[in-house]
Amino acid sequence: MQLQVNDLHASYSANTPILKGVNMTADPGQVTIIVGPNGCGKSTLLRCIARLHRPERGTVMLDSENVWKIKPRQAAHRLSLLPQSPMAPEGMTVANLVQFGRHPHQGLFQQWSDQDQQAVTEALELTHLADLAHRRLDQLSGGQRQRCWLAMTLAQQTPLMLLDEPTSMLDLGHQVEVLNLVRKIASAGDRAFVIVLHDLIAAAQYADQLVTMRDGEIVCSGAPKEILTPELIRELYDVDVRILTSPDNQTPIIVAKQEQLV
Amino acid sequence: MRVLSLVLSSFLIIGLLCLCSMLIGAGDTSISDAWGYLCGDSSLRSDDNLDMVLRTLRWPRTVAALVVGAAMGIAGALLQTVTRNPLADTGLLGINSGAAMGVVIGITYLNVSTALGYLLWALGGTLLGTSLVLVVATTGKAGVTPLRLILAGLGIGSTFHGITAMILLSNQTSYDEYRFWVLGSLAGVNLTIVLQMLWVILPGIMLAILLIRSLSALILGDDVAQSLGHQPGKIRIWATLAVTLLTGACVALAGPITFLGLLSPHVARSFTGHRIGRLLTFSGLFGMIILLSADILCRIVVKPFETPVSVMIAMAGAPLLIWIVLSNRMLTLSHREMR
Repeated sequence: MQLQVNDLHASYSANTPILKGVNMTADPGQVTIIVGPNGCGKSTLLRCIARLHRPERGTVMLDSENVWKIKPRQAAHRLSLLPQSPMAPEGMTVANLVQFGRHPHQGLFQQWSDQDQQAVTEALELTHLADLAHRRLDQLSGGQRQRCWLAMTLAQQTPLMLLDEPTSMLDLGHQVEVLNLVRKIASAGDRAFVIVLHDLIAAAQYADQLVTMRDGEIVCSGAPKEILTPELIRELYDVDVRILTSPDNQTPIIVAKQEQLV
Repeated sequence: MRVLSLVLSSFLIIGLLCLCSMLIGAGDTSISDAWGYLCGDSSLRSDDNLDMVLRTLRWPRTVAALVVGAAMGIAGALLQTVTRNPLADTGLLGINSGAAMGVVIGITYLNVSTALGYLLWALGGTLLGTSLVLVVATTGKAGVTPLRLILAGLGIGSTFHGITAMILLSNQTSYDEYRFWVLGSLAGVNLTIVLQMLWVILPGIMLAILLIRSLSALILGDDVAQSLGHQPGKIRIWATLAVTLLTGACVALAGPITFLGLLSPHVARSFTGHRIGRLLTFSGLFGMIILLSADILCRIVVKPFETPVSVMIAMAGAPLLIWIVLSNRMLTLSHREMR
C-alpha cells in the first residue's frame, strides 16, 4: 500500500500555519524517515497522517483511499502509530500490551481468535520478545520496552506503520537495537514505515528515503546518499558539516565541522 | 485463581454483613429476637412490631445499601479511569450539586415532600448538570479531554452550588428539609423505590460493561487508543452518561454519599491492578461491603440515635485510604512514562 500526501496544510491556531503544502510519498517495504530542525512540523505531519490532527487542506491517501474519510476502525486496519511517549499502567505484562494491537480486529462480543494469537506470537518473535512475554513492562530496560510497543503496533498488522521519535531517550545501544529491528522488518515484508527522527545521523544511516523539512515545507527527499550535501544541512540546521562515508555500507555519516580556535 | 477466591470471599463477607444488617439496629429490638424471626420462630413471626422492623425497615435498607454501594463503586472507578485522575469523585462532574439544586428547587417552589418527589427532582438535576458539562466539554476543536471534563464539571458544579445557596438563604423551611437530605442516609428507604431505581442503575452498569474494552485501551493514552480504532472523545461521553445514571439514582435514593466513589476504586485497585473489567467488578463489590458496614456502624455508635452514613464513611474510610497509601498498595493511575 502506497502512502501519498498531497498539498497538506495544517495549523494549531488560525494565524500560525505549521504545514504549508506538504507533498510526500512512502512505498511498501521501505523505511521513510522525516527529519528537520525542532518545530519544522515533522511531528504534525505524522499526526495528520495518523488521523490525530485534522489538516485544513490537502489529502492523505493510502492507495486510492483518503484516510480522513474512512471509519476509525477501518483506519486502524490500515495504519498503526507508535506515539512519542506512550504510557502503560503499572503491572501490565508484555503479552498484555501486545494483545492490545488486536483491538481493531476484534468486535465487542468477538472472542480471542486463533488469528489474533498468531499475530501476537509473530509480533513477539519478530521483536525477539517471546521469552519475555510474561514479564512485567516495568521490569524491562528502555530498549526492551520500546520493542514491546513496536510489537504492539506490529500485532495490529497494518500495511503502514508510523513511528514518532522511537529512539529519543534511548541510549546508543538501544537506539541501534530498535532501528536495526525496524530495518529488518521493513526489508522482510511489504510494510511501509514512516518514522519521525530528530537524529539526522541515525536517519542517514537507516533510511531508504529521507524526507527533509524546514518551516512546514519539504526541502527535498530521496535516498540519503543522493540528497545529503553540506549545503542542504546548512539550509536545514544552520551548521557547517562534513559528510563522510561509512566503511561498512557506504551510507553517509555527518560530522559537524570543528570551529577554528587559532 | 486468586481473583476467583477474592470474588468468593467478597460474596461471603457481603452475605455476613447482610445478616448483621438484619440483626443489628439502633432501636431496642434484641439481636436474639431478630435472629429468631429470621429462623422462622412462629411466635416471633406473629410479633407485629418485629415484623415491621425487619420487613419494612431493615430489609429495604440492606437492599438499598447493596444497590447504592455497587453503583457508587462502579461509578467512581469509571470516573477515575476516564478522567485519568485518582482523586475523581462523583462531586467532580457537578453531579452532586446538580442533584442538590434539583431537590432544593422541588422543595421550595413545588412543595415536594415525598420520597419519590425528591428522587425525581434529584435525578432531573443530575441529568441537567451532566448535559451541561458535556455540552461545555465537547464544544471546540480539542475534543473531550480529561482536563476539559473536570473544568467543565467544576464550573457547572459551582454555579449550581451558588444557585442552591441563593434559594436556601431566602427560605428557612427549605433549608431544614434540605439539611436532612444533604447528609445522605439510607434510613427510611422504601423497597419499591429501590427496585424502581434499578431501572436506572442496571442500564448504567450495562453501559459500563460495554465500555470495558475501550476504557482499557484508553489507559494507554488517547493517541494509542485512537490508533487502535477507538474514539476517546466518544468513550468519555458514554462513560459520563453511565456515571450519571449510576450516581444520579444513588443520590436520589440516599442523598449525596460522598467519598464512597473515591474510596472503593482505590481499595479495589490495590487488588486488581490495571485490568478494567476486574477494577469495575471489585469496585462494585467493595462499594457494597464499605457502605453496608458503614450503615451498620451508624446504628451502633451513638445508639439509640443514628449517624448519617456519609459521615461514617468519611470517618472510617479516611484511615483506610491512608493505610492503602502507606502500605504501598496504591497503584497509581498516573502511570509512569514507559519508553
